[in-house]
Amino acid sequence: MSDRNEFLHPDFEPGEFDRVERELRQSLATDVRRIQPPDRLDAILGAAHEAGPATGGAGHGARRWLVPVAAAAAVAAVIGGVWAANRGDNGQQTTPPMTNTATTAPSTPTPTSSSPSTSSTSTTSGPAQTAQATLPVYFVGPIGDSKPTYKLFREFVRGDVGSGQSAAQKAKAALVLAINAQPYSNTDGYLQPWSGQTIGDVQVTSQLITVDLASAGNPDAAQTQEVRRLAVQELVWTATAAAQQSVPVRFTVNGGSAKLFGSISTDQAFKRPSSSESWRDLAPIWVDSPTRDQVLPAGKPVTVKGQATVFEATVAWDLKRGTAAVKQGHATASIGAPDRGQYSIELGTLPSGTYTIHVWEPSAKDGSVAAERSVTFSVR
Amino acid sequence: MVERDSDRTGSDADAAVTDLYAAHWTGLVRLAWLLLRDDQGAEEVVQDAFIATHRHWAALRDEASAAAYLRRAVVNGARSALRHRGVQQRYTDRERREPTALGSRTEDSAEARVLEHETTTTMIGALGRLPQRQREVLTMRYYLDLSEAEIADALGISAGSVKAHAHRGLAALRDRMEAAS
Repeated sequence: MSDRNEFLHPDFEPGEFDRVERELRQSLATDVRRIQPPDRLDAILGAAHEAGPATGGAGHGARRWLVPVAAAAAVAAVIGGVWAANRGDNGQQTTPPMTNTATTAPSTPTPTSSSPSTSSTSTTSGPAQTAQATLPVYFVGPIGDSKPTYKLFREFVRGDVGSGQSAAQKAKAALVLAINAQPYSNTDGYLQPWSGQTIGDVQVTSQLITVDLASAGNPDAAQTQEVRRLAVQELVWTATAAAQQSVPVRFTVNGGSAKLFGSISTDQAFKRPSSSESWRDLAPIWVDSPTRDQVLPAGKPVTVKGQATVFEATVAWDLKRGTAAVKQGHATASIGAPDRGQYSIELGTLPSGTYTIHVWEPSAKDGSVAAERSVTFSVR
Repeated sequence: MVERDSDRTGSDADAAVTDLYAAHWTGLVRLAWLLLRDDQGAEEVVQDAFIATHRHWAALRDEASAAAYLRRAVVNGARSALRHRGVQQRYTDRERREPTALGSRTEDSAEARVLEHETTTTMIGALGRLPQRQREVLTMRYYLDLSEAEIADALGISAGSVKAHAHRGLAALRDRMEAAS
């Protein structure tokens, strides 16, 4: 708005367009109100990781028109199933060239991962190569209230996805990580409802993801009905995020139907709830960055970012260095409950040290903590 | 075998894109929709723009230049989608045929027509009949509240051209609104 006054051409009278400007502004705002795009962040991050960083950068300014279009086209091609043969832009990931025939047919292939050992099956020449990818993985954890209530948290975890990197292989790799919450159970209190589980065959089509499990799940590992439901949803969110397909998920147990945890029938399709109902599954407060134990450069301002489904879109936060309080304040998410908003907290530059950022939702009733999340990071 | 992501560039890009997404996803999808009048197409154009931004993060480095890059990618993507899919033709045809149509979501239109003010339908119809550049400039200015410099950057034209397009567009809209009332 800073250049509001200089925006209009000097030949025109001040105020000449006031009315049409106001009407246009209102009309545009009214017209787009019902456009509520679904969340695609997971798909964006997943596709970006899949494509890898773009190489080059020389002449970036001069070619600024071409670069985004070319990149978008390249990504669109990858998403459409037409794999660029060589992505040797990342030294550590020497993925063998895919030689799928390029085709413009929009039909989605039905990739199937072999079960249960994906690696080292087809070795045509040389040693088996597995590729690593950063995968979105969901876990059931305590939201931080006094009950405690459990919901889902998302982590980005690096894991082996096999050489093919198909949607099914990625979904399977992410599911394998999701059933093992042990690395986080001490630090974050994540439950381990799938302890002892094995992920079998995973199939991904444009309509459905099918996941075969080795067992129906131990009811003792997920004691309440809600934890059982969340344990299933944990796999639904993980599989759909890793496969980048927002489609229903069906489960089988050893190829047949069963009751998961003895109570949830596999004779149904499971889905992510709609965006305005995501609170049913997702923890009220996530801290997306800094990530756990991340080391940030000294002298650069630190910004905390995350997602929240909170009353009046308000979160409170404090920053501690060791046990000493450093700063505190409030932040406003982009939208309040029941929708899920994004919040951002500017901490400024911090002296070297180890810090814990604690973000919480004060209870509307009595000011107690309704939900919270803490992440420890270092500045060096 | 489980190893935390230690790739600094990758996690920086993740964090940056997550933040950009929070700030710009809905606004840019709506911008793309205003330009394209196609729900699915708008989401795809903006998704591709975010993916491209992530992939070029190393060259962009800060959020201001990344936001500018995103806008260029969205405007280019929308224009290219219009060109390749002939959406523009269908759009203008539909607007001519049915000047009160509120876009492509026909299932909503009955309810929408009741809810939206007459001004909105007339205005959006008139906007849709403007030349593409004028429509782009006015949409970015009055929906996204972008500055003249930001619009010039996103469209790859001079600030003077932005002014000129804004004025021709506004003048045409004013005339059509007056004619309609």
